[in-house]
Amino acid sequence: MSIRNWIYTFLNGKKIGVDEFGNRYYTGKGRKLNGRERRWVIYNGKNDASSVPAEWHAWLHYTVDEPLTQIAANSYSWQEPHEVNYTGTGDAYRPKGHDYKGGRRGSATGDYEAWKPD
Amino acid sequence: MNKVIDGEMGLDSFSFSSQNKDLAEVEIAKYPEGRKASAVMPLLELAQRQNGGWLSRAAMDYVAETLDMPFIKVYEVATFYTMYNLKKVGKFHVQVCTNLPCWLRGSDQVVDACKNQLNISFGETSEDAMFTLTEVECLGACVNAPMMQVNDDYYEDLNEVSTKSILSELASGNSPKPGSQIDRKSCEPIGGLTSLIQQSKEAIESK
Amino acid sequence: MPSIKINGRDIEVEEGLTVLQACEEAGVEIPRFCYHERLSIAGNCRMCLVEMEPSPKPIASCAMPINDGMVIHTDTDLVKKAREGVMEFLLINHPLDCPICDQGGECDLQDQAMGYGLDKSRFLESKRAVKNKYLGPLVSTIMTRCIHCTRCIRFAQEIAGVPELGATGRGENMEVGTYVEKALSSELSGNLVDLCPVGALTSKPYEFKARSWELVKTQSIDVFDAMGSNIRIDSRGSEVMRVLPRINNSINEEWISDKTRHACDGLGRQRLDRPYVRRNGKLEEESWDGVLSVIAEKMINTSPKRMAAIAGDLVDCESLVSLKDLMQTLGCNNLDCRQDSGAFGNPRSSYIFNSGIKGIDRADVILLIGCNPRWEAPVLNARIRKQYLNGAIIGVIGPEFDLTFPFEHLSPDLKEIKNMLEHPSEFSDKLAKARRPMLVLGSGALAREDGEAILGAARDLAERVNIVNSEWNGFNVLQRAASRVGGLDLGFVPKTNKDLGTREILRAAEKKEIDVIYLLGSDEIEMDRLGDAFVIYQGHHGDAGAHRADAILPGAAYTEKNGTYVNLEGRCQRALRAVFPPGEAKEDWAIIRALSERIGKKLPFDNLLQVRERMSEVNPIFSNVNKISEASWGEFGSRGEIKDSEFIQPIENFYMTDVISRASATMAECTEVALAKKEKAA
Repeated sequence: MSIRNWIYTFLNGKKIGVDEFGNRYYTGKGRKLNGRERRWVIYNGKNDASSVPAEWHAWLHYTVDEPLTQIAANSYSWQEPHEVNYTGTGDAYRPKGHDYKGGRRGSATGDYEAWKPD
Repeated sequence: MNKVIDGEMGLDSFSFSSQNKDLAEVEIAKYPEGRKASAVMPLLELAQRQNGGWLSRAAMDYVAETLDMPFIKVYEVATFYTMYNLKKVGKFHVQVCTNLPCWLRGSDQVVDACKNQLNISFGETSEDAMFTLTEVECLGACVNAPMMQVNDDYYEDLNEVSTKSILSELASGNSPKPGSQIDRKSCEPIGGLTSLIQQSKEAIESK
Repeated sequence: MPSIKINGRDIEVEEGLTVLQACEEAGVEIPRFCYHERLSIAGNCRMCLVEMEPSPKPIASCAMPINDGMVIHTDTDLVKKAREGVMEFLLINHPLDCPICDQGGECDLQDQAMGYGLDKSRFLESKRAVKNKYLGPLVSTIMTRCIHCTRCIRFAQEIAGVPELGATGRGENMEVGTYVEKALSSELSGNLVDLCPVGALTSKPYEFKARSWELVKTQSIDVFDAMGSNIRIDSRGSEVMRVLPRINNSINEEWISDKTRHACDGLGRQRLDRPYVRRNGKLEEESWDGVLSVIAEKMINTSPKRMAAIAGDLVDCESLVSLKDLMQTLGCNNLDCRQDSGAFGNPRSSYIFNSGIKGIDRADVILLIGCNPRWEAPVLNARIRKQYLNGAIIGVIGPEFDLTFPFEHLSPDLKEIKNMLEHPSEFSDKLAKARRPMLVLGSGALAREDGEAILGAARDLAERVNIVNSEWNGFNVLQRAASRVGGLDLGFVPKTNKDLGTREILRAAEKKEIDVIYLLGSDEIEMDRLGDAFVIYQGHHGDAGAHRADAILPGAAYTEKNGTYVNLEGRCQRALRAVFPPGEAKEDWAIIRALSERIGKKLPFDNLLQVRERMSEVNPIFSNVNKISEASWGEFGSRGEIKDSEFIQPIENFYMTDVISRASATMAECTEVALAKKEKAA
């Protein structure tokens, strides 16, 4: 967080909440931008937009008026916890046959099993 | 509506009693030579009656063999018609109509009475294997609604009390009187005839 | 002929057609799902609705017979609206899962929804889901996609003759299936997949393997039985992905057997892809150069009388003529293309299906002798069944089988032929009175020691009961090897009585009187009787022959070469190459041609065209492609005694009869299921 952001948040920000990654969410005190209140996030650590979970993402983009609670975000058994985008990091998904995963690709078509004596 | 495709199938052997064999022959004789398969529905009914109100797979296979039909053709017929039961039913098969006329006249109370009295819900058989409760579509007795069918008998003009008494009498081995439960003659208007009275009096007098 | 008006155009059509068929003749396309030319009319999909004056409502054209003066419209607003409505109803319960559906790209519903359907859905309610059914190892079911056209039910009942499929339940609960879980007991079950207009029945071995548009389609000929069914080979890269039937009304109509369709995965297993030579009792890899020198040396240094060649069942005519020419230029006439030593006579009519496969459609009494057409040629069996349904009487001499249609079992003993000849029986009267009687003689009967006598007796019976006359020849031999008729036509048999056939070659080899045996794709002979002869095996699969061989020449399978095959009715057909042979394997005639050069007796042809010219030279029927050449009737067979010996079934297991199907995993699975079924029944 830059000094400028810190000062702006200190002076104008009203803290709304913190998500599971420690990102803090603010609205502007009274001052409106383009007819609606300003909403912003101060990231915990590196600035990574993909670390905003779905329930806060909705609030941040004015889809909902009130931030959704943790409960709403985990109300279905099939919901998985939010993960940041790992692209470009060591944890990124790489399919079998990727250069970093041995680089050996399974054959798709055209292979045959040769007969061997005995 | 309560058809099962798999599950309880009943594979033990089945064959007609000598009496049913004769009846089956009568049914088969109604159709021309080589058209035996036309008798599949009456034969299935005979089989169902003999088998205690339901068709086991053995019974259907037997009918197929009797009529020289592929097995699957008999299964098709048996699964199509709702009056063939493919699951074991109790001694008394209670079928309650819940279609519009019956519902308007209080079939909900009849259903509740059945459910409470027998302690089962639709599609289930009581533990003592006496009763099976089934929800059915219109049985064609709307004028005496609400009604229910127990095995071959119609019980009409029901309410909670009469339903319960019918069921408990059946359970105790008595046979309650079928038909209207409010002492009306067949489907005459409640409270006696309202029309054609005069003419009938004259007709009686002229005799 | 009734004349009707379709879309304002007058057209005259045959009597007895339906409106849909008439429209087809007029070139007007009518969408349909349940209607199929070769099945009975069901009229339950309602997609073929058209407008007929003066009917206020649209009519189902597939079920409406033609009447003189009918006025039909297929391009009015009413018809358009009706089609859109029907399509909307069909799509109510059909999942929109085309991207994960195997039928995608070759789906009738997909195509017709694009052509005749609405562009949006108004259906917001839940769709129904149906449990998948088990129909055996070849047909995979996704029953939620079923639109209840009942084509599969009608096929099973009418064509395959196994009424095991049906529609159970009613209304929304209607389900197509077997009710009791079991695999379909039909050798034609793969055709259900072709018939299904949606993706409800798809091919299990081909499941999720390829998309129809990425496949290269090659027109070819089937070799798994002697019918010569017309097939289409779909390949991707160098792999054969699937085999589909081509329509040929004279041969297979539009059906093929399960073995034809699904044995193709055997083409990718147990392949001979390089030459081998046996040294010190062990097969070692060798170069082409090396292996040809070894063989050439051996063949040059062996007396022609001590050499022999046997050709297998899947061999094409090009390699047969090459090998025959090579052996004969060496002076060796110990040749045989009959692994089972089946009897045959000199006029061509003694070993072919003289009436033609189409002739079955005209026969009124059929006598089957010592054959099980259901296994030896399943599609032909379906044709006999069709004729049974049209009223033909069928009699069987020989062992009893479930042929999917009832028949009169005359006797389990083949001696009955002689009996019938001497004392006219009830059935021989029926034959004599019939307008077009037919006799089908099985290859299993001819392969017996007394095959000549059986052939002769059958010939005499044919003459006696008027099976053969000036305009009808109903004397039919049911061959079961794809190479057999071609081999006999090319004369790939002992030239004189002194030369050896398969039976004598094996006998001589046992006595060590044969030093070199050339096996051209021959695996179905008793290998342990070959003694210590030097065995050259040329073929495409490592099977019995390759295990015994002293030198192996890797050849091409039927999908990998341009070959000529003559089917059992004597029709010469050309198969095209779909993929290339694996590894170092080569086309078979070219291998023999290369070997001949090494031996120093170079064969006079350098390309396929010249080989085919040579074939026409040997027998002119090879220039008469795709047509049946007339065969003259004559004297054949012997008048000997038919022995008491028990009839031996030539096919023990329908699913595994040759090197390709024995290598196929799918066929192994089918065998397992069939065995389990047999055990359960016993």
